[in-house]
Amino acid sequence: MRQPEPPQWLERITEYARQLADGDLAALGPLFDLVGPRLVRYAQAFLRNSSDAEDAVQAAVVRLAGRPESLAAAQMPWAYCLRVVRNEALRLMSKQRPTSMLPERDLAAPLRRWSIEEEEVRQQVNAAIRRLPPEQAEVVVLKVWENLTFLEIAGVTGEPPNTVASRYRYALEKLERSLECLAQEASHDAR
Amino acid sequence: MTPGDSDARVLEQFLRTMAPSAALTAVYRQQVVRASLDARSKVLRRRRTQGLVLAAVCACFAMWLPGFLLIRSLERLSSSVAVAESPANSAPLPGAVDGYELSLMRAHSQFRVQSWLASQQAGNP
Repeated sequence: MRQPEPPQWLERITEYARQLADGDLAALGPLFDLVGPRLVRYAQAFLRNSSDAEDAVQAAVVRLAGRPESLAAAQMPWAYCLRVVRNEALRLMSKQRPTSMLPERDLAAPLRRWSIEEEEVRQQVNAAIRRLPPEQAEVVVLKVWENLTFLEIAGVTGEPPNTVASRYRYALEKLERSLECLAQEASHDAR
Repeated sequence: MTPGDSDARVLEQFLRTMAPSAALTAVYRQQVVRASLDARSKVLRRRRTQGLVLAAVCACFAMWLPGFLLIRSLERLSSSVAVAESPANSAPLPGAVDGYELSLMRAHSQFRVQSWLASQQAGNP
């Protein structure tokens, strides 16, 4: 069952954007704390590189700070933020040549301590998502981790909702095959 | 609900539990916030400058316009006075006699009168 985004969280984004538009620069820090980690997580979905994801998010936040009136007036502020990040990521991808995949580094120390097994599982899941085509990985991240509907994802990506739904279905099929071994190990350990 | 749908739901739930929830480094946060503050300050400064320039242009126009209108009205006034006093306005009416013709006619009639008197005196001794 999809967990809808808490309305307070969305209202806080709009409130910080309004404060910024009114000239209160102190609202920038809290706004970034609110949306920054999730934006970086989303940018990593199709940039496949933590450094590039952080660069794209920085460029997006700078762009949002330059025109907070647009964010304050947006009907779906979170989708608007994601759209800005997506545009910046695509701009970055068009400028860069394909580089060799550097070893992934984690964003920072996690908020809670993972056990070794959990950490291993998490890395396998992330690796499976990265093996997906970028457009499918993007849809999975937006649907599963950002809790957007297909219509909202269509608004972010600029694709028709049916295309988004198809990509999600194909992505889940591929992930199911990739993670089948994990499921088998889990059922074996449970016995 | 088909078995495929339920499998998808299970997988979805599983993936949701694997969502990374890490915080960003303090250095990165500071870098982003500083860059955003610079961008926002630049935008506010540019808007302030544009506002000042616009206010200055409006003030200059407001000061220039009354003088311009006054000069135009004075010009119109002086041109209308000049038209009233021009020689073209004292032209004689058609058929009127000027001073030179009048003196000629007077001299001619005096001559006719004197000629007639002289002829009368010569005819009556």
